[in-house]
Amino acid sequence: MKRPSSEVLSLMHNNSLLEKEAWSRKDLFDQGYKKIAVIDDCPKTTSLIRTYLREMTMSEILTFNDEFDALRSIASERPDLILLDIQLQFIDGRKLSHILKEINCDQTPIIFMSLDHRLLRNSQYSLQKPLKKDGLQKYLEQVLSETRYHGRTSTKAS
Amino acid sequence: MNFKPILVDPDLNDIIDGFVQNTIEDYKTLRNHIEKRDYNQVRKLCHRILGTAISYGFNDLDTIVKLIQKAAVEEIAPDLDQHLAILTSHIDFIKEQFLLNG
Repeated sequence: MKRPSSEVLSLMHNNSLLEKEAWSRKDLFDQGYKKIAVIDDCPKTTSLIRTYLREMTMSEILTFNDEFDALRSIASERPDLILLDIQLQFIDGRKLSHILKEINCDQTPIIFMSLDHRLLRNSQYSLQKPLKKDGLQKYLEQVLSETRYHGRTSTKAS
Repeated sequence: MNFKPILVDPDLNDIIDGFVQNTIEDYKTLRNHIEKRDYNQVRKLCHRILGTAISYGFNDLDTIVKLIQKAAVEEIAPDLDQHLAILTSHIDFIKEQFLLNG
C-alpha cells in the first residue's frame, strides 16, 4: 500500500483533531451541557433568569444587560440558546437577532421575550413576561430538547 | 392602606435585596417623571417595572404600576398623582418588610 504524502498526512491529522474536538463538544451537548445567553437591559430580569436556570444542571448561563457587550461576547462564546428581550435600550431586539445570525449564531435558537404579546407574534420561540419559574424552565427544556448540536467547531474552522 | 405581605420564592432569597433596592430607585425616578409630567418616560419605566414585579412576587406593586401606566397613556394628571400616592405608601410598606426587618 502506498504511503500517503506528507500533505495528506498533515490534512488527515488536522481533520482528526477537528473531528475529535467536535466530538468532545457534541458529547458534552448530548450529555446535557448547554450554554445559554440571556440579553435583557433590565438587571432584575437577568438576575431572575440566572437564578431560575441555576437549577438546570450542566448549564452555563451568560447574562448581558448591554447589547454591545452581548455582541462582543456571543461571537466567541457561541451559545446553544439565546434568550433575547425585544425592547432593549439601544437596539431593537429583532434587529439584534439579525446581527447575531450573522456572527456565527445562524443556527442558534433565539427565544424572544416581551411583556407585550403583540411583539411576540411571528416568533418561532417566544416567552411572554412576566416570567414564571415553572414556565421558564419547562419551555427552555422543551426548546433545548428540540435543538441539535450545530457543530460549532466546523463553523470556527471555516 | 393595607397591603398584603409579599411572599417571595425562597429560590430568590439571594437576589431579593437587589430587587428591592432597584425597585426603590425606580420609584424615585418614576416620581420625578410624574412630577415633570413626562408621560412618555412614565410609560417606559412602568413597562420596565411590570416586566418583573409579578415574577418576584410583588403583585400589589404590579397592580399599582399598571394603574400609573394607564393614567400616563391617557395623560390624566390627577389620576397619576393619586396612584403615585398609593405607590409611595406601598414603597414604604416594602421597605418595612424587607429593609427594616431585614
